[in-house]
Amino acid sequence: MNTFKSNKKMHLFLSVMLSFTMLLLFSGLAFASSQEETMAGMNMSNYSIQLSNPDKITQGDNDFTVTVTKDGQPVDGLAITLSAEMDSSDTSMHMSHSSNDVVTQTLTATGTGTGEYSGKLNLSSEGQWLLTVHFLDQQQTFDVTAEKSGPNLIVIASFVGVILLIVLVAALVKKRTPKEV
Amino acid sequence: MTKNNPVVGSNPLTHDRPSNPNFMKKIMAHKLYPGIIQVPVALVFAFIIYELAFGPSVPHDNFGTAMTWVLWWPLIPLLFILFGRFWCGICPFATLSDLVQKVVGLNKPVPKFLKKYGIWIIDASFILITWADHVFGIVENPRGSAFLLMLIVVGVVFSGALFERRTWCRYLCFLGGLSGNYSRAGALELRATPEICATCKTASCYKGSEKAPGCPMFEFPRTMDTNARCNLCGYCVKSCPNDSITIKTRIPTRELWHIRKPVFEESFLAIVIMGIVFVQNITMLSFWPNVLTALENLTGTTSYFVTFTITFIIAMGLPILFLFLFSALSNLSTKDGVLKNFARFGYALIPLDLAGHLAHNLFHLLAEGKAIFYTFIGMFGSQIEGSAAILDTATIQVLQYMLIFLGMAGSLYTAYRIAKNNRNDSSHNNSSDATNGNTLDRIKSRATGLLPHAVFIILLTLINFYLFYVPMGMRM
Repeated sequence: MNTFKSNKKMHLFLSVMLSFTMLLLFSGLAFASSQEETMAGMNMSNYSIQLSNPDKITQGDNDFTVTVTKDGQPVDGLAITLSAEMDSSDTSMHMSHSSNDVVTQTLTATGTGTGEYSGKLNLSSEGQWLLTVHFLDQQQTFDVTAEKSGPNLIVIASFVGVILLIVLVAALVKKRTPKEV
Repeated sequence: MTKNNPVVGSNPLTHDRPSNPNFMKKIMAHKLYPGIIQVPVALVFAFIIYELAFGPSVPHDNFGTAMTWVLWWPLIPLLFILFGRFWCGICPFATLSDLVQKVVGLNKPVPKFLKKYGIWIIDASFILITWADHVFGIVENPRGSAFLLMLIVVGVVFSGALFERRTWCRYLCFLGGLSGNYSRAGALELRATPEICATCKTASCYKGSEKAPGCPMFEFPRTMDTNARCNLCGYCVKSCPNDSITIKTRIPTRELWHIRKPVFEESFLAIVIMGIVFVQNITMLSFWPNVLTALENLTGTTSYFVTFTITFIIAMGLPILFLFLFSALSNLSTKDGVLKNFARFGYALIPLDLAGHLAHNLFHLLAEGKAIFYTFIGMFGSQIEGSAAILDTATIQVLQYMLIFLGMAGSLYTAYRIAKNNRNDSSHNNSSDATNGNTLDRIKSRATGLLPHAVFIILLTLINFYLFYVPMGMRM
């Protein structure tokens, strides 16, 4: 009888743990960062501009890559700058600075024959930003949203919670399991 | 004991080699070992998880990312070659498992399905993690890395709370599967002395004693003839009442020449690792975007989930298929069955696996190594800009080629020795007949059995050479 109850508790313990682990697995996709997201700009004078950035743009430093092609061919040797300005139309309560802050970064070519230029831009706060690509007499603006860059406390707390639960349940089962003589 | 009839538990591999146990054995017998290493490693590891979860979200600036993927991951295969599964003995996950077990452990026996399918679970999880890394982001996403490590922590705590000994390490850890394979090619081994063990009545090495617990990896050192599951924890050294345990150096890969009971799943893992090295290389090469574009045009979708998964299946599946093919060709001579041939000769890939793994990660260590220092300084508010490279790309490339060449040599020689030791060779069964004809037949049979696998090893080497020839992108 005691063995049966012990097995039943064991099964319950295993089931609960398995469920929480599955929950964690799916919630962990919140940590997920897929590959780069690419935004295409409009064609201007046969130039085509693509802006690539991490799928999740966050407050702080972000890597951006601009790809310039003309008539379908990559264009090298351009002097390209990327500037970022807080969107003045953003009425987010998280805005903590003047909407006139502009950061500019000169991009460097990543290789030959690729038409790619990359650089790092610091977005000082979360919210809506306007990224503008400048070269020659051209410019193109993209809307991006910078999110908070901090840890995902919900997922972390979930992990800690599951670990504590495992330890607690094991301790309880151990306490109730009669010791072998 | 004769060469062809080894006594159970004896060690035909190093019986002529002078032992060099005193220094290493003294360390392992010391009461502070392995704890004196485990504790700081665990503390560093906890800090790494903290940095990955709470530090900068940009991998370039995250100390946890630098420590895990620029320092630890490249050094791990080197540790396996030099010291077998020593890392497993000081692994923070193992320490955590032991701690949980000590406090709340229920010490249930390992379920049969884990004993039977554990290595397949390891194979599958290795493949899944590699795939998830590219699709969801693990290495190049500090939060993703933190998530993976915390998931492992949950598994370790669960295993330590429920099961006996280090069940996670033995049956579930994906890195344990890798280290088990790699350590077979290692230069250090722990073995018992059969003549001393023959009179032992206590089996303290397995059961434990008041001096130390029993083997945490469920091994019985008395009959242990492989490094695959020995984590050099030193428990058997401490608990053995007869001073039977020896720690010796040996020629790397030597254990692979004499595997008495080849296991299909372990060989499968060996070829899976080769596929993983290919995948990791391909996705970091300069032509990778072109490959993606071609796949996007072929599939009609720009979803990276789809295009990468197709690449992954091909890069993983082709080596496995080709090993089956070459095993089938080899089996025409060896006549021991395709699966058995696969199982036997799959181990020969391990030196090349090691070399490919080392060579790939050598790039990250030597081309981005200073990032460890930069990110460390960055935690204190200072920013250092500049190249993170320790060596230039050309030098690293030469080192990579040298490693691959060494790996190829190791694999070819291992395959040769495996072919030579083929017990199912029909000519070998008539060994009492010493005519030249049978000797020639035997040599011919072994050569034709070896040839397909030798061709396969050379083919894999050429692919590796090409992949390391193309410029590689940075991780940080």
